[in-house]
Amino acid sequence: MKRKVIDSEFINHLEALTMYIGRPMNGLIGGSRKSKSYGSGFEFADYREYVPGDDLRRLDWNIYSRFEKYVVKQYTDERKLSTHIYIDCSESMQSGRPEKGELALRLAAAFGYLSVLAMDRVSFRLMADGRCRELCGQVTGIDGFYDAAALLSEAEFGGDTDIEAAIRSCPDPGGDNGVSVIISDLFTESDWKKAIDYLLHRKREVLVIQVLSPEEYDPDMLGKTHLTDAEADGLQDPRNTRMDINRSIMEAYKTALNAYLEEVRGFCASRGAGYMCVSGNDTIEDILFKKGYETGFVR
Amino acid sequence: MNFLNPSALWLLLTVPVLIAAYIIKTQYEERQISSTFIWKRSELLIKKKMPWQILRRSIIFILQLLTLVLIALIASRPTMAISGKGEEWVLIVDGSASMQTKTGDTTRFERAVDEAISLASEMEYGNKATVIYTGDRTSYMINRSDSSVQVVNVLESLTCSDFPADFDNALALARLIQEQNPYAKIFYYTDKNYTDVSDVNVVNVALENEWNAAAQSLSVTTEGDGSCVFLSSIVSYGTDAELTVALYVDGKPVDARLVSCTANEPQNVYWTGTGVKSFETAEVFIEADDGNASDNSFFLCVTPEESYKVMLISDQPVFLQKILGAFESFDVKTFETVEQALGSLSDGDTAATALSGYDLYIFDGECPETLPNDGAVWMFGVMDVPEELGIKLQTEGIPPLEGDRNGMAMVMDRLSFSPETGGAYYELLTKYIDKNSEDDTETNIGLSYLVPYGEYSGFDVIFTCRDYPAVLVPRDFDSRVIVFAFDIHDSDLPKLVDLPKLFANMTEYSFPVMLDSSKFDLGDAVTVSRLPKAEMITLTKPDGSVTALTPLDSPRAFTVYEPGIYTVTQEVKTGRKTVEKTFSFYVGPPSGESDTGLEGGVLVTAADTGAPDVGEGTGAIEIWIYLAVALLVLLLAEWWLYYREQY
Repeated sequence: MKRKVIDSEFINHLEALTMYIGRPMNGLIGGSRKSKSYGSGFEFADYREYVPGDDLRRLDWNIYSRFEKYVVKQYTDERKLSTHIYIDCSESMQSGRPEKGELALRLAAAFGYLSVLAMDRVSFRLMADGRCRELCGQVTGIDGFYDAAALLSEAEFGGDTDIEAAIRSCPDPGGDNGVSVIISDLFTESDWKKAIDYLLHRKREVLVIQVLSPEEYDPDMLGKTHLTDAEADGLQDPRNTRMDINRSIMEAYKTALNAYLEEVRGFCASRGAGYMCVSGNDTIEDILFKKGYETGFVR
Repeated sequence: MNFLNPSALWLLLTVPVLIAAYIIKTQYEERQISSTFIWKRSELLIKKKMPWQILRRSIIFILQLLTLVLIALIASRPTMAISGKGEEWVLIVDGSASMQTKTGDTTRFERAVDEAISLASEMEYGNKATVIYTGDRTSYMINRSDSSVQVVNVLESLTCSDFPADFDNALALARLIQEQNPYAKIFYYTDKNYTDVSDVNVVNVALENEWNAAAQSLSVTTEGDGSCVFLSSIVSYGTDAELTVALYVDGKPVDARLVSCTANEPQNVYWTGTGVKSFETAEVFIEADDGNASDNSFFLCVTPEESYKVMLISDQPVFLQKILGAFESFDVKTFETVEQALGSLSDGDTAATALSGYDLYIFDGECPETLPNDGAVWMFGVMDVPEELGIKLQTEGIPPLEGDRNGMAMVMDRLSFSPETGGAYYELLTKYIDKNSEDDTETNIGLSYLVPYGEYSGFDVIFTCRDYPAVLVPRDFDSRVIVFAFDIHDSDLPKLVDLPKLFANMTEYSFPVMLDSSKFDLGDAVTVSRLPKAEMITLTKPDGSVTALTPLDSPRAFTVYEPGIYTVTQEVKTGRKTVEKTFSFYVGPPSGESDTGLEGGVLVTAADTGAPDVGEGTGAIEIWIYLAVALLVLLLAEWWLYYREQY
């Protein structure tokens, strides 16, 4: 099914934004990101002892006059980064009005565009059934982005959600050179926390975007209901459940939902990962301009 | 627990219906959602913090079951025995004449009512009381009331009667209460000690040393000189006494004497040499300050013998004079012809044109053109019957005449009874007339000739002879005419014993009495017969009140509820005059109620099985109100669980 992921208005909004990487990273030369290696940039980074061969123009004479020591200034070196965007393409994302999956793809496109605008490289990785599939390899430049966006609009949803298995199965999870964005509803028994820890261990900046539908915030159900999970394998699947929904049950659901969202938020905060919880009712502008700003990943 | 309406327990059959409905109704709405992940978590939350929610459906089911059970129980009106609470009393108050016995300032009845009021005043919440009165009637005065005030008011409104009590009927009414509440206690407020009281609590309000004098009877005979001799019977109950007893005749004192009475033994008192030849009422009166004054008098009513003026017109009056002479009440004047009779009535200047002034006119063979209207008429063998009677001689279609004598038919046969055509007065006029031994449809009275009456509409035929009407009477109640179609000389009546019997019947027919007795008992039904041509009948009661007895054209029956002398007065139109005829009768108090003795004998007969033994000091209250409160709580809980949780 083809989905409309980007349009001109969408692009116009995004051009006002920049994806911000808060800490220094190693990256390829030529990008617009700060790198933690010292180079020929203009921003002062640190001092070191003068060794023969250093550029005498970098000697800090103020330090010498005070301490009679020869030290040279070091400047940051700006590099290209690599953004990996993981999109949960399981069956559960194909629900809601508006559809969660469509929102996930639009967010993926948004962050992808911000990356190429910053002259970073971006790759879109579709997760389903515990595996990760590269959409179209690494994308650089605007033209490459549009090609990737076209492929994104044709992404299919189905299968189970196993984020840990999917991310671990990626041959190139990246390293200390970029951001990993995970877009999913996180309604899974699989240990997504391990996936995040794995990426953090690989020195990635991690941003978790949890996508929920309006019906998941406020279900409109009452009475005897047989709830069938979208990813269930038949009526006998243990994920299905029967409930006699009343007001107390509904309140318990909302309490459990809020508790889970708080659990995710708290875990991300404890790991220093960014976190956003978005709903199908939110516009891209709200998500990026408000929630994105709050996370610090967007400026 | 007992149930006043156990049939309502059939409602419990709705319980299995509810269970079946719950088993059948298992529909779940199918709904696919993106993930049950959060729902599963909410289930754990519910199990941890609201474990009763899991049982909610079961709790609602149990509440609905309990609701149905409670509804069935409430409808069955359960009662529970609670010691000291919910007691129910049935208070039977004896309102018989003996309860009027007075000592000091209070009568037995007043003391009985006070005792009952004392109990009724102790009524608490849940208690009920029924008051049954037995006296001139036996009935519920108030039925299962829970209001002490109302019960007391009813008791205070009761009055004593002159009647005996009907305890059997009262007990039957009390048993009906016990059918509704087996724990109800029966109290009987009376003036006797009883044996075999079953479960009845007898409260005897009589006092020791109460006594009462009573006049029990009064009768009269005549002495040789025709003066009346009165015999009365008096008794003193409870004590020996010297009693002053007086005799009054027509309201005037005749004699008084001191009589020594032994306790409880009747004493006869004779009154001779009174010099009274005739009277209408006599009274024996005991002057004593005894327990009950209402039985200190006894009356005797006598209806004076009436004498009737009889005009006999006959050219051969011997037989008739003889038989009429046997009736002392008849004062007979004989005339040979009607003309002669008219002449006797003329007063010199004015010739009488009609016969009048007599109570009975007997026409033997000859009859005036117009019958007198101020008396009864008997006619014998009259050919020219006055037109007003509408009787005409036969001319055709009659049995063949076997010889005739001046238009009379020769029959040579006996009079036959004619019950089919005899009408209302057949029984009266044929009373005691002998039947022929060979044919009981015939009399022994033989006829040789009779007047062949052909048309006689408006008349009933009492006797016939060879299909001819022999004795006729009109159907009109006010017309007392007897038509004999034969001359008495053409029959063998004069030599038969049937003659005086027949004439006695004819006299009774012509001069009916208002009442057949001058003495009745309390509670008797008295029937007053209307006299011919009576236009108004009134009844004067002992208290002096006068009531009209209507309608006139049907028997006038009434029940006598108070002792004393009653007088029936009928205004009878005779000719142009209206005459008042009166008849007095006496209703005496029930004799058994004068005895102030305390022994009452057996109270409850063997036929009464009594109430079941439910022990002492227990009462029953209906607990449906508490169940109803519980039902309300259940319904609120169910509403909260079902509706509030749903919406």
